[in-house]
Amino acid sequence: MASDDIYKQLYENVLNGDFEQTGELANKALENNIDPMDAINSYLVPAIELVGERFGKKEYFLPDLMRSANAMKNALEVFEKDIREKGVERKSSGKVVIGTVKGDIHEIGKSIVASLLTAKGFTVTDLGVDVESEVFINKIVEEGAEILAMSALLPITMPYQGKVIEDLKARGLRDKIKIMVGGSPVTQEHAERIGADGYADDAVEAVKLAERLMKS
Amino acid sequence: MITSKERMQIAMEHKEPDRVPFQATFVPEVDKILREKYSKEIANIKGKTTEKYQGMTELDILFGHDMLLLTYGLSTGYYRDTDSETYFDDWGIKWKKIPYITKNGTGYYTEIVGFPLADDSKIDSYIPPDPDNEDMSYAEEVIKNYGKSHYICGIIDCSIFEALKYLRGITQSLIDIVANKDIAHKIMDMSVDYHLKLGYKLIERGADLLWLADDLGGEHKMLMSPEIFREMVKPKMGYMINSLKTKNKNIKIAFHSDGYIEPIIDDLIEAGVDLLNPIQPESMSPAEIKKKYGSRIGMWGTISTQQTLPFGTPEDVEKEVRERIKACGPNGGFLLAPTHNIQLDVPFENIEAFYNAVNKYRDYPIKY
Repeated sequence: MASDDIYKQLYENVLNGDFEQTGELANKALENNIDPMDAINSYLVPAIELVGERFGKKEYFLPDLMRSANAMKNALEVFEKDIREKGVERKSSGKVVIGTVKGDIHEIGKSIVASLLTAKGFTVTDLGVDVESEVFINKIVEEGAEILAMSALLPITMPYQGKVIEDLKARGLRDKIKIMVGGSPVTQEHAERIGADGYADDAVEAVKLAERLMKS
Repeated sequence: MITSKERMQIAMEHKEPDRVPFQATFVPEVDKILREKYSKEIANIKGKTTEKYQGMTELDILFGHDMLLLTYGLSTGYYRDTDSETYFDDWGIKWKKIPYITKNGTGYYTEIVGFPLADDSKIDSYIPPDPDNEDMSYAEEVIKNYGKSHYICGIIDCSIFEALKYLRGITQSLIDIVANKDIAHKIMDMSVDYHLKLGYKLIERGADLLWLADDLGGEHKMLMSPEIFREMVKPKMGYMINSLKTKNKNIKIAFHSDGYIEPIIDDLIEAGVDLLNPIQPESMSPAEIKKKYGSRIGMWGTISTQQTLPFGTPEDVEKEVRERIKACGPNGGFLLAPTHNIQLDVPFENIEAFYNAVNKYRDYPIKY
């Protein structure tokens, strides 16, 4: 396979969500001396951006988004490992700590946001689900995180997003971090009420929001 | 005065009875609080004898609900009355009780944490539960007591795509439905067979309505494309509904999906759905759905359990009930209800406001 074909195939795999072969393809790319940074920036990222655009236009749906994110992840793992081994770092778009709040074990939305953030160059620490306020805060301090992203899928767990913000204030850390919230029942009004910096309606919007928050 | 059953029958024919029919359900913690609060009033009302699953209780009768629910099938996995933190249901699905704290006390949400068919190798040898082992005595008891006076809804929900989710996991099921179609078909067909047999049993015992459910909507967007729904789910739904209506031509069919599903409402009508639930107002405007589809499909639900009931004031609740009856009540085809079980975070004043508003505004003809 010529380099041009591999590039094209990587792009197509992410766009079409053919995730199963993508890790292998990334290895083949390295064997062909393809520059992994170039592969990421010129092919994988534009592909996932187009996926996001199609999702926004309701041409793509959750299954498509998940499969494309998986394809991206499989290729990124191979390329980023290689980049690290060469002693270089992919420039981070920002450090994010993400998780679903205590009392809530809904995972899928939060995980898609984490995948897409990683795809767009963010350094993401995913704390999983049912995360206590203290665990969020300790991890923020440990990582020097710039963004905290919290998910809640139940009206009964939404208030906990506010509690984490209050706890950050009490620790004098609120001004050091941008906070974004999401999840089906979460609204812009809720985000404002609890003092978050932003709300996004879906995973694609969440990435745009994170990029905006990094600039603000 | 006409009975609740007649009221529902008239409404289901898209005509106006004496009043807008309504009902509500509660999570077990709220059910318990209300039963204690109204213990005197319900003392002589016939209710269910066991707490095994959610379903019809004395409170339904006390509060004047026109329709009674009998829970069967996959969704009986929810809210099991058990002390252990995790449990398995008959399908081998592992459930976990996740605690949450509200002003009204600690409650539990049950969530699936173990999916029996997550591993492909388990699929071929999997044996689903036998519908003949289902205990139908609970349905028989309720129908014996209330089948003449109340409209009886047999729940055979989580019937098609939902079953795939419960058995494979949500992430995997969304991949299966577009990329592993053979697996998706096999598992969904197995669930269809099971729930169809349960449906027959409920029809034989006197159910008026059977309730199917598959959550196909996200908050503002469908979980899968309408094309994939039409290819993978709709034919199975059509088969189920046709089989049930062949068994008894008078049986009505309700279908539940949370969230935004407007792109497939015409498909649901075509598949034979008579009543759509819950029309979550955060996702679809009940007034618009009434205008566009209301003459062809009934509406059941529309009162927000996501925003208004937990976070609104009693005035907000009254306003919402009034608005919904005004928008969705004309020409019948409307069963007013909260969009989900009333949760433990709902202030008692809001529950009270819901019932007061229903009684204040439900008379036909609607004059305000």
